[in-house]
Amino acid sequence: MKAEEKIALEAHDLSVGYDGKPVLWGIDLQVPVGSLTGVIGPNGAGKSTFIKAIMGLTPTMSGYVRLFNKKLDDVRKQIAYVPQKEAVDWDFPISVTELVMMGRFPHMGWMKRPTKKDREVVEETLEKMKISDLSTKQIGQLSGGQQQRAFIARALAQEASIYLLDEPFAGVDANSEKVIINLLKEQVKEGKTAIVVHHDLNAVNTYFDRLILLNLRLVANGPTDEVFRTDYLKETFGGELSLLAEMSELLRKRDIKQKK
Amino acid sequence: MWTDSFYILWSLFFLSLSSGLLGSFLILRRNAMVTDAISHAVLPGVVLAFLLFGGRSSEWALLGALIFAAFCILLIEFFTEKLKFKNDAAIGMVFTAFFALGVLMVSVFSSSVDLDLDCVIYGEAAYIPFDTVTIFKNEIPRAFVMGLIILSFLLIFLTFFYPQLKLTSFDPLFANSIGLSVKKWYYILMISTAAIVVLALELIGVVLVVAFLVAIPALAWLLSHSFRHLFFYCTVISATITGGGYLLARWSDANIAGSIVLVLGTLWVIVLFLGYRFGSNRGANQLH
Repeated sequence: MKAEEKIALEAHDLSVGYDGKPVLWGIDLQVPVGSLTGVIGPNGAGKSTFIKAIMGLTPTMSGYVRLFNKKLDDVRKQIAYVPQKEAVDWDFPISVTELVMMGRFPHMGWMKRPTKKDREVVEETLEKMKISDLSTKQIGQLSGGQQQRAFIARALAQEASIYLLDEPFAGVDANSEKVIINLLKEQVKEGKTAIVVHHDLNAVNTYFDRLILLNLRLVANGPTDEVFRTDYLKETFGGELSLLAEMSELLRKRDIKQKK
Repeated sequence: MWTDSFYILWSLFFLSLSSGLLGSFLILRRNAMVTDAISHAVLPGVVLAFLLFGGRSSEWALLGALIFAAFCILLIEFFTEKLKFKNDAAIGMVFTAFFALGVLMVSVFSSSVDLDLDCVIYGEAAYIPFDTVTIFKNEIPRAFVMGLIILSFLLIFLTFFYPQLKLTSFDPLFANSIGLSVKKWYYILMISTAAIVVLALELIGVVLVVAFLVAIPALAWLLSHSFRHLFFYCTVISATITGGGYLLARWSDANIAGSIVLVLGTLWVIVLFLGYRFGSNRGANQLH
């Protein structure tokens, strides 16, 4: 990483676990400002956990995360998060406009009443994601691709500096995928940073300029053309299922030693 | 007789509308079980208030209920988060223990407490006109006044904090990520639930209040695609079941609360049937 590049995300010795079982182990990495980074790994590799850990929403066992060289609580407003599709209650009685307006929340005052500017921003983002005609629809009535675009519109309306997207291309039509990736590329060009959990290896080298290969621990982190290599991918996806058990074992031994 | 009916109907309407509005958020957050728990867990608090301060002073009963509701919520949280119990198991253990304590207290102190176990469990809305407070030299039933106060508070509360409630209910991760405390709003909702339960205790009893807090908003939700519709249908359903239930109770000389919930159940069947027939609501979409 070049010295003059500004750091958007820094994780240092980050370990995350639930009930003493590690889900992420000793993650050390940096992501520069203005990059479009893909997070790649098999199911259960801790990709979603990694995203949540960046926002400080998981129990950290060790290490820390810093964004733009600041503590998390000082930069919360700079984070735009798009959840996994499965995590959303699509029967919730809100319209697309209401959803996107939620993105303006951090900008609103104590009363959380939208101003004229908030309404304008929402309208613009709807336009940008090409879903203006769906603005009054309840979110469950949209197609998969439209739903994802609505959530990206919310992230866009936040006018944040870093985007965290959890599998934005899962169950999305080709057209929506194009709209989304083009928008992300455009945002990155404007100096924003995007970290995207991606579920497969398709189009990885055309979509992302950097990759984080993850499988409980960090396999590789760097520019796509450097780390998108067979040996790294094998290490990420192949034969690593026993790692979690090994880690638990190590942790247990360490605890016993400490007690002695 | 006419004024009696008037007060009974309006008291029940205030109660069911308050329950429906608040319950809308509870079911959307999947907190229906906790609601059930709170409705039972407040009993010891109410009995204690009656014991210590005597008579039928609603303010102390409310305070006692709120304290025990908070206690119940924190205990459930302790069991799930610290002791790693499954959430539904923790709820089941905590609230039954609290309710048992309440039942014991009522039966032991029955001579000194003006609270009847049957009344707590089944409710007796027909007694509404007999328990009055004096306001501007007018004798007005306590339940009517309390219902009006609770509904007004709730409407003001919703007007001001609707955006926060909506966001924390819909997308807790996102809410947390922008620094909006999901937990804080959960506590506020639960405490409000306790306030409604205190009112409900004497009118419809601890069992059927769950129907008010869960079944009314759930039925409204079936018909709605927006919060505006949800609140509108809660109002319509509340009016229908209090009116219909009261008529049914008078006609068959039965318990009013039971009649109301029976009408509510019938309404459910009708809505599901019509929806299935004409495909006009979500329940129908699930069935098709």
